Amino acid sequence: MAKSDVPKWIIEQGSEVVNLLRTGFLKSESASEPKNVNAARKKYLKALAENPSLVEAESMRLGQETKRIINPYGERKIITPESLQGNTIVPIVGDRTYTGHTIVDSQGFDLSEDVKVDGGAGFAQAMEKFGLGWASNNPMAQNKQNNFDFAANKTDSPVVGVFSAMGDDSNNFATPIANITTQQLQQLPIPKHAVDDFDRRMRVKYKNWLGLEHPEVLDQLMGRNEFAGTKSGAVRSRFVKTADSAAFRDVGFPSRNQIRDDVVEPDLLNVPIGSSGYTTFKADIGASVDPMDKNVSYTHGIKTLGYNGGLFNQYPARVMFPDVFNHLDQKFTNPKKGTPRPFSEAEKNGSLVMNPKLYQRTNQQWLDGMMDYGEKNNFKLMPAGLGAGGLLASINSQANEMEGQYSTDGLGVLGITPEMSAAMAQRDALDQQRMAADEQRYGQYADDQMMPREQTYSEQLGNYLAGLHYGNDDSRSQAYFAQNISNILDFTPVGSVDALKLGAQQREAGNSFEGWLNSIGGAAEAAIPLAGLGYKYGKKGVQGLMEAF
Amino acid sequence: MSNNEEVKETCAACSQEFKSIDVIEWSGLTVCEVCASEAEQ
Repeated sequence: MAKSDVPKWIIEQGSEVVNLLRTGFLKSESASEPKNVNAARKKYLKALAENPSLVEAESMRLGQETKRIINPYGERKIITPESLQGNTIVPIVGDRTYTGHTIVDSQGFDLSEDVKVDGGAGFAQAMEKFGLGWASNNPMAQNKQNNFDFAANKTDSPVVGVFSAMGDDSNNFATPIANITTQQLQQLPIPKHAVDDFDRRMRVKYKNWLGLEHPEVLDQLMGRNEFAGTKSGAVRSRFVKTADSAAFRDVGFPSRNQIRDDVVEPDLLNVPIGSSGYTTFKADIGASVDPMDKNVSYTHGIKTLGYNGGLFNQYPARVMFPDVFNHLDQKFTNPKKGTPRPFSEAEKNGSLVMNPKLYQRTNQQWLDGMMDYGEKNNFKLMPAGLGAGGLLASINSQANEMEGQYSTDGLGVLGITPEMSAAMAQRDALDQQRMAADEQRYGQYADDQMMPREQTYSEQLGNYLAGLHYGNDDSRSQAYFAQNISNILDFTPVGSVDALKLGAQQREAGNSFEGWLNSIGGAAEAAIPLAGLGYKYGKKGVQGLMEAF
Repeated sequence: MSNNEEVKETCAACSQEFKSIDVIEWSGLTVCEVCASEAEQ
């Protein structure tokens, strides 16, 4: 296929930085250099010209939204470093997946099997009702329980597990990326020679690899049915890594990074390895480690005495576990061949994952270190709060002008409780952190409106609205949706009531949502999704959302 | 498409890349020699 035969819209949309990043033609670490972006564009256009299958794949997925069902498990409870003082903390490493989300449609590919994301940093909070704080495979799970027991024995103080983020590749071990990749592959026009080559490469390491086109390949990757009890996590890691290599990217294999972005907790997407404190839970000293079925990626549960909340900001592992790192700084490798050498920084992070004898007393010295780091980095200890009186008064003032269309008693027009207000402020601050991280990561492109993490709440909400999965608007989804709506009120005093009216009027006038959205681009940003809410739900739906609280 | 392109292994613990012969599986995780030794403390 000559370049001139590639549809112009694919060349234009596909050449955007965000797509080059997501398809892997451009690496995030080199995206700040224009020459690298230009080189990536050339590679992308060359691959399009040489691979009709890539053109077809891009035509299927470019601009498509991912649709999901959200199973909320409550707002993250925010704690302060002071509240951890007097305990002993143990690093609990984990992947970054988006607890409580179920993907039903991935970038335009309808998933015949919904993909449940049930691990990640939110696991301890979501699984508290089952008495579980964490999950892993054995012997890793037992190793971590041993770590708790060891720390308790050494310090005689309560032990708290503190989440520390593993690297991005850890997300490949969890089931969602491999599952979605497989289901996308089953719908993509991948050439036979590429399928054969992929299978050959997989069999170099896994001789019993069934093959991409085998009807039970998903069972093998998920470790279920006849593959239950197999080491499927390592197979998944290899599978995703192979599919993400340049050779397969160029013929239209699924975009691993784009799938990753859909299944990773946004607050954790861009944080450095070892970022610690997002989740904490109370260790159950001496507890047994038993098989469990609450997570499809891991087989054994680590018990807890209770979810303990998470810090507002995340801290580098070296700040969270200073004594541990003092110990690791002195440590040498013990190679079977060659000369021992000091641990590299990467290996120190690796030790957090593997070593069952690491612990940190949270004494005054520890607290001073945490506070000092927080001050230097302008950390907030708790959500600033929105001045519930001010925000709610503003909302209710607007609501009072609504000629009685909406209930204004109790919790405000959108059911915003003080707890939700605090959560909104927390979300605001986290978004600012994320944007700052993006700026550091993407350099000049952080200002590019194409960057997904640079979207404001209202833009995200607009996207969410456009991609809302009809037929799944149950009360939980509505409650979550209403929470999202309430989040954007944080940004603006724009009249939400007027915006809602505007949307409803547009719908009654027969205007399409997209057309109308485009026509009011100059309107205050918060008004757009709110008006979208009005467009979609109208008066009755909004009341339904309020009643969901 | 090159037949010789090797997919490197990423150590699940330290996130560094290695050749296939330099990693092992431990608890279902692909890990490097240094990290594997840390589990045996």
